[in-house]
Parts: sequence; C-alpha cells; structure tokens
Amino acid sequence: MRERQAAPKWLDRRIDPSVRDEVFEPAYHELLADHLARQRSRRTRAARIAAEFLLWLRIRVVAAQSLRLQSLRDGSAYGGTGMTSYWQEVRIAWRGLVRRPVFLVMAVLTLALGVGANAAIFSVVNGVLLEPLPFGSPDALVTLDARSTQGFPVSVSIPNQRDWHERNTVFEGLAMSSGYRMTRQSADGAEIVEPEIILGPFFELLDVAPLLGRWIGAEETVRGAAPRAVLGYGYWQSAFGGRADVIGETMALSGTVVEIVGVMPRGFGMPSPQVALYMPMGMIDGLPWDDRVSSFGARAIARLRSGASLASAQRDMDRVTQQVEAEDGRPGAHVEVRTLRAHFTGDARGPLFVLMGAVGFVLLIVGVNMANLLLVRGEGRRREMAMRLALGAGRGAVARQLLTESLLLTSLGGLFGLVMAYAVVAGLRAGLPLEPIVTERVSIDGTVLGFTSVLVIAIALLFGLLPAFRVTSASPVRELREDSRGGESRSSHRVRSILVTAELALALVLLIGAGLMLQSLGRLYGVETGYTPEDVLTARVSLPRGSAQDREQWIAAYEQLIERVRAEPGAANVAATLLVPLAPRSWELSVAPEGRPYSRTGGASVLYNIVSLDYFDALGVPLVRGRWFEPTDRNGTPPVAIIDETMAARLWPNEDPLGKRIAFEEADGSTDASPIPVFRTVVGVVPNIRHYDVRTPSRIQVYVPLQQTLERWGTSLSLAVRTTSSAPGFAPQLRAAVRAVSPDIALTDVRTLQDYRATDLGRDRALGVLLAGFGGLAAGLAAIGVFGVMSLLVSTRTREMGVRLALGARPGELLGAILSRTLLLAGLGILPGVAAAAALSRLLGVFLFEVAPLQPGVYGAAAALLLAVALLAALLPAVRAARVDPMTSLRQGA
Amino acid sequence: MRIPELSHLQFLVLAQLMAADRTGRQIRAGLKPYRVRQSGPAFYQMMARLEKAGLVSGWYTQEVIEAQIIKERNYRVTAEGRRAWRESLRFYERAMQAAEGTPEPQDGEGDLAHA
Repeated sequence: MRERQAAPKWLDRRIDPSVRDEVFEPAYHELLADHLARQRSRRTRAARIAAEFLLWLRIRVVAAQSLRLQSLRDGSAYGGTGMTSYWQEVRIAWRGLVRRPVFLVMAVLTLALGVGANAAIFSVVNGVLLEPLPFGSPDALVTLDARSTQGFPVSVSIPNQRDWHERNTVFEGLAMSSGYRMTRQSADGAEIVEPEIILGPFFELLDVAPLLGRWIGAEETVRGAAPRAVLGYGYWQSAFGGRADVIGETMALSGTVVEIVGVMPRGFGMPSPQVALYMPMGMIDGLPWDDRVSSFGARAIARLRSGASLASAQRDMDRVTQQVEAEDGRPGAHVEVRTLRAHFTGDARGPLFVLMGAVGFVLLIVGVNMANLLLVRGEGRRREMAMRLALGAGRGAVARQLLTESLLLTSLGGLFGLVMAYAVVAGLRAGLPLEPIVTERVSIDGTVLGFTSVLVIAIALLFGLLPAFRVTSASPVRELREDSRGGESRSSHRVRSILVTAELALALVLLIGAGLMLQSLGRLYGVETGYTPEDVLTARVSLPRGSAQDREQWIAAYEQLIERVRAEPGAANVAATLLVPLAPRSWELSVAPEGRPYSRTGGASVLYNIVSLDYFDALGVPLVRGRWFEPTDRNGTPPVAIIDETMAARLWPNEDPLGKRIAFEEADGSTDASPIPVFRTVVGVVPNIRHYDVRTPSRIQVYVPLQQTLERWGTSLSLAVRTTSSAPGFAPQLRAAVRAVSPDIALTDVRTLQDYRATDLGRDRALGVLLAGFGGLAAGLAAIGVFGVMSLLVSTRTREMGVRLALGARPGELLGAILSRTLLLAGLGILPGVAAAAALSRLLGVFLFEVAPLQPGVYGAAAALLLAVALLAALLPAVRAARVDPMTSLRQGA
Repeated sequence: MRIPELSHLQFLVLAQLMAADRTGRQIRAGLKPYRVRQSGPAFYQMMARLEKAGLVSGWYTQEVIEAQIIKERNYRVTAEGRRAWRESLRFYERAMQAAEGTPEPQDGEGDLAHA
C-alpha cells in the first residue's frame, strides 16, 4: 500500500513555513498519531467515520491556533492584536510590498505620474487663482479698462484719470500708470531703463511699505513734479548692488537728474515685479495733459471703498462716463471695472480649469489602475484573509491592514509625484503664457503640499477600500469552493473588466480633447497671416536723445542704420517699421476716404504703420495690386499710401482703390475745432496682416513711406531683417552693426517674428501640448490596465487553454479569442468615452480655432488610436496563450 | 538571589527531560497531573522557543501506521538546559527555606517529575 503524505495541502500555502515546522507540524502529527492509535480500537465503521470527522475538526482548530500564534508573533492585523501599534502595521505593510517589487514599482510609478501631474497643475491654479497678489488688501483693488466708442480696448488718458478720480463715489482713490522708456548713460554705454510713470495715489492704493526710504505720494506726481524715483527690488540689486545707502543718490535718465527716494521690497511690482523703477508722471515733458482722446498705453487702478461692490462701481463709472460725455459733447471712453486679479489672470482661468479637469481624469485613471493592481494583489491573499475571518479575526482589523498598505503605497507615490511636480513646475513657469506677477506665485508651497496630501489620502481610501471591501466581505465557504476550482474568481474578473473599461473610456475623453486642441493648434499655425515670419529678426531702436531734432534728421538716422545693417553678410532685406506684427505696440488713426467728412474721432479706425522701402520684402508680404513705395516717394512729392485688401473692400466695394485718396493725418496748424486733413493717394494694395493676434483679422491697415512720414515722426522704430540663414544667429551681427553707427543707440526687444508668433500662440500651444501629454499618459495607463487584465486572464486559464489545444483548437483561435475579448472591452469603453467627450468638448469649444467640438475625424482617430493601444497591450498575453504547451499546462493544473 | 530565567512551565518540561528523552506527546501527558492545559500549537511554540534558546534539542522520528507516515517530535535536554534547570531549582529551594527558616542545602540534582 502506498504511503500517504500526511500534511494537508490546504494548510501548506497558508502558514508561514517556520511556524509550520515549529508549531503546527508537531502538533498536527501528535493529533494524527493519537487518532491512529485509537482508531484500531474502534469497531464500527460509523465510529471510525465519526473519529475521522473529529480529527478533521481538531486539525482545523490546531491550524487556527497556529495561525493565531503566528499573527501574535508577527503583530499582523489578525484581529484582537490590541498591542499592535500602527507603526508595526506600517512595517508589516512595507515588508509585504517589497516582497513584490514589480507590483511596488508599477504602483508607485503610476501614482507618481497621477499625483505629480495634479500637484503641478494645482500649483499653477494656486498661484494664478488662489494666492493673494502682493499688495495690501488685494481683493479691493480694481482696474478700470477703457474701450473706445468703436468697442476697441484703448488706454486711459490723463483727463480720463482726472474725471474718474474727481467724480466717482465708490473708490478710496484712483491712480494711473504707464510704461515708459528712458536711456541711462553709464560707463558701459547706453542702457534702456523702463520705469513705470505714475499719477495719483499709486503707492497709497497698493499699500505696501517700502523696504528703504519712502514712497512717491500722490501730490508728488502732478504736472511739473520734481524728478524722483522709487527703485524696484530687482533693479536695486542689479544696478546698485543692493546698497542700503542708495537713498538720496541721483542718476541721469535721458538727460534728467533723478533723485532716488525709496526701494520697494522683493516681490512687489505693478504691473510686474520686473519694473525697474517708479517715477512721477508729472516730471515727463510733452505728455497730453489736456487731450481726452490722446493716450499712451496707461492703465488705471483703484481701491473700492468698504461696502462698494464691483457692480456698484461699474454703475458709478457708467454714470461718470455719461456725465463727461454730456459736458464734452462727444462720445468718450466706456469703462469696464474688473478686479486686479482678473486683470492679471486674464483668460487663464478657462484653460486652467480645462487642465485641472484633464489631470483629474488622469488621476481617476491612476486610481482605477491602483484599484486593479490592489485587486490582483488581493486575489493572492483573499483566501488567506477569508480563512482568518472564518477563524474569528475582526473584519475591521483586516480592512485596516489592507488600508495601511494602500496608504503606504499612495504616500510613496505622492512623494515621488511631488518630486516630479517640482521639476515640472519649473518648466511650467517658463512655458506658460502668464503675467510675471502671477508666475512668481507658482510654486510647490504649503497649499500645494496640503492639496497633495488630501489627494493621496483620498486615493488610498477610495481605491484601497474596494479591494479591502471585496476581501473582507468574501464568504469563506464560497472562497473555498472557488479555491477548489483554482484561479481567479469570476466576480473578481468582472470587476476588473469593468475597471479597465472605465479606464479606457476616461483615456478616450482625454485623447479626444488633446486631438481637438492639437488640430486647432495646427490650424492656428497654418493661418494665412499675410506675411512670412520665417528668418526675420526684429529689434526696437532707441535713438539717443537730441540726435533727431527734426523730421529730416530722424529719417536720415534710420536710413543710415538700414544701410549699415544691410552691409552685414547674411542680411537679405533690412527695413525700418513703426509696428512689428504681433508685438505689443499699435498706433491707430481715424480714416476717411476723400469725399466724406473727416473727423479726428469719428470714422473708421485704421492701423497706421510707417515703413521703409524694403519693409514688404523683409516681411515677405506679397503685392496684390499697384506698386511698392519708390525712392521718389519723399517729402515734397504727392503723399502716397499702400492699403490692405480689407480697407479697399470696406471703403470702395467693387471699385478699383488705386488712385483713390484717403485722409488720416493732419497738416501742421490743425486744431480740434478745424482739422486740416492731408490726403494720400493709394498706390498699392497688400493682404491684411494679422497684427494683434493670429486668430482674428486685424483692423484695416495703411502704410506710409518713412521718407514721407507726417504723424508720429520722432518715435522709435524697429528694424526688421530678413536673413539668409538663422535669424536668431544674426542678433550679434545686428548689435555690432548698430553699435558701429553709434554706441549710444540702444537696441531692445531683439526677437524673431516666429518668436512673437510663438508668444501669441502660447496659451493654445501650452494647452495643446499639456492635453496631448495627459492624453498620452492616460492611454499608457489604460494600456497597463488592459495588459494586467489580459495577462491574468491567460495565466488563470492556462489549463483551459491546454485542454482546448489538446482537443484540437489551433493557436490562432486562442490568440483571436484573447484579442476579440480585448476588442469587446475597448468597444465597451469607447461608447461611454465618446459620449462623455461629446458632452465635455463643448467646454473646450471656446479655445478651439476653426475646429468644431464634435469633429468626427478627431473622434474616429482617437478611438482608433485607443483601440490600437489596447490591442497592442493585449498582444503579449495573447501570444502567450497561443504558445501554451498542452502537456505542461495540464500537468501544472493537475 | 537571582530570579531564574525559566518559567514555571519550562521548569516542569525540563524536569521531565532530565530523566529521559521524550516525545512531545509524552511531555504533554506528563504535564497533565500539574493541571497544565495548553493547546498543541501553544505547547510546541514553547518547545520551539526552548530549542531556539539552546535549552533543549529536538528531532523527528518517523513511523508508518496504517499506511500513514507519522512523525513525532522528540526532545532532549542540553547541558545549558540542565544548568538552567539546576539554577531554577536552587532558587525554589532557597525560597522555600527562607519561608520555612531551614538552612540552605548542598547543590544537587532533584527530579520533580518523580516527586
């Protein structure tokens, strides 16, 4: 007779080998020997069967006692271990985790990606929307944005500020400020300094104490003010080495001696922390103090009185506008009151919410993946847990242990996620098109850490609870029955399939969002801007003060610069221009065709540009009709202009614009009451150039030759150079050439046209790139999920596959079965995914350019991509299924 | 007077092994008159601890009963075990003498199992 192996199999796997040897095995053998010794004396079959049943019960009890002893020794959560401290549980959880390194790395990496993306985007949301601005009681600060009668945003004029300041009833005070450019002569040559010139209670409103010295008070900013300056922190550091004795010193700015009276602290800045210094507006010569319609880029800020709201402020300003209009007898600027934060964050709120939503989706996918991973892990321990429960362990204790593991995992993931977020935030600060004052507040601070902690705990509870619930709610009887069949339970597989389907649906939503945004970005890059931005370098030129006393000298100075730069190797075309497309500078005048009444404020607003002969070649603007400017178009010859197609169509629909005359400039001696318009003859027509932004066509445009400039002569122009090779590489040559003409000429804003376009499309690019990144991440995570489910399916059904193969199934059929199951899962995910994307893409609609939120092509492509990713992820398990060796699998399963 | 390193139960177990090697089953049977009620696993865990401490050594013997392989754990007291047991015994005797007021006895072996 064959000898039977004594130790019962069902206990082998469940008890730690050391406990089995030391504790269980001797006790078990003792029981068995005792049983056998007595069995001989049992006469009836019934007595023997009853004794065997008793033995079985005793073995169960002995096993239970052994397990209990083991748990007491380990301190593991086996119920009733009151002395177990939480740290012991953490230690046990950690030991359990490092035993499965692949699971640990996968789970931590997945979590780190999800938490990292969330922490990074939240740090931007926090910096932009939540962190207070660096001013006293910043919530009461508002800006007053003016709009022209035609509805275009215009800057605030000095009389505007006076009117609003004196007549309002809702503000504690109202000030205005504007950027300005001055030249500071130093030993190193000319340096361009850009102070903020202020009028009214500017510092009083912002309410930030100076670091050194004092503010410039409202009474020191009025017309004829003494030249004083308050330094910004950055400029104080860079130009004065952060010296404390700088107060009372003087410096020469554009020929004026300016006294330094104060230094502002780090982080302060209006409109940006990069402002070098603040000076009174009243010290600047030649500002339009009494002209309501002349402005120079100034903005107004005010502080709401306590009790005043944004709405009441708006009503009050509407009343003031009407009052001024009635007194003035002509339409004035309309005022829009906005909070200072809204002014700085601009249209960032919408894209940020979209991004927050996107990373939320990524986090959901990560959570689902986590739940999936924990379920797989739970599978291996489910029967052990069920047995412990059957032996009297508290469900709470078992669940607590599982939750501790999940919390430990998510904490590790959160920690790595924060490290990743730290790196990403540095990139986001540089890459996101935000105001510097806002960018400064984007960082991983206490709020972000708190948010991440909440996130980590939420994931641990939410996605750790599911496996814990499944494990602790399992019925021991069913577990044993499923155990006898071997492999993963059917219900568990169903849960995992549902999770993967949900993952695929979420990933599809992100992929569709990314697809829509990328297509929109592609359309934006493909927009016909009217010029060729490649290989063009531009730079703004500031001539030394006093070097261009009259128009002829001014024209000659720029002609000389153009000639000198053109002599440089690599310069194909060189031109001077007042405006650079997409650069933040514009000049508008009111235009009237000959035969219609001319007025300075009525009529259509035209974008006015002064250009030298080579401008259209340098920018690659094609000629639609007529001719270019010629060297003969100089002062003394009939004034000429080139207009754009939009203007031609607007002013003379269905007529030939060539030879027609227009007025938008005035001769010397003009007054408000009796303007003397100058008529220019249209000699050429060019396409409309997108000047303000790539998305919208610009206002109608008119170009006048540099040599015939009437308005705006004396202003600083920009140089535009079309290069034969790399445009950015030409910058040193350009600087050298300009310095060769005069070392006192300052060059600023040395940028390529492509750079300006990149800045303009910054928001769309950032949104597109980030959404594409999150979409890719989501697809990758979903692929991991599919891979996991299919791998488990294959490994738990190896025996079934073996049987099928033995019965004559071909490997290709098994491969097909796995892949078709994947297709089914993906299909089930795609349907709700498409529906959710269709609902959510409407929110994305406002950011899309010439792309419908329900673009079928994008939906199809995203679904196809996801399907391909899912099939690819299932391919490896499928191939493994097809390669099952029937003999091996059957033997394993026996 | 140092407190012995052995517990009462361990003292009883070693006392049995001082006489002869025994199986686990025999030791448990020998503990019964002292009203020691301990489960099999708890008993063998205690024995495992004694083994780990080097006070006893253990080994399996194997026999086949009704076509079943039956293994039994056998135990023998080590030199270290004997020393520990004697030390405990001395402690108990001194404690008793202190309680009864009699002089201390000479060192020697006792056998509580047969007492």
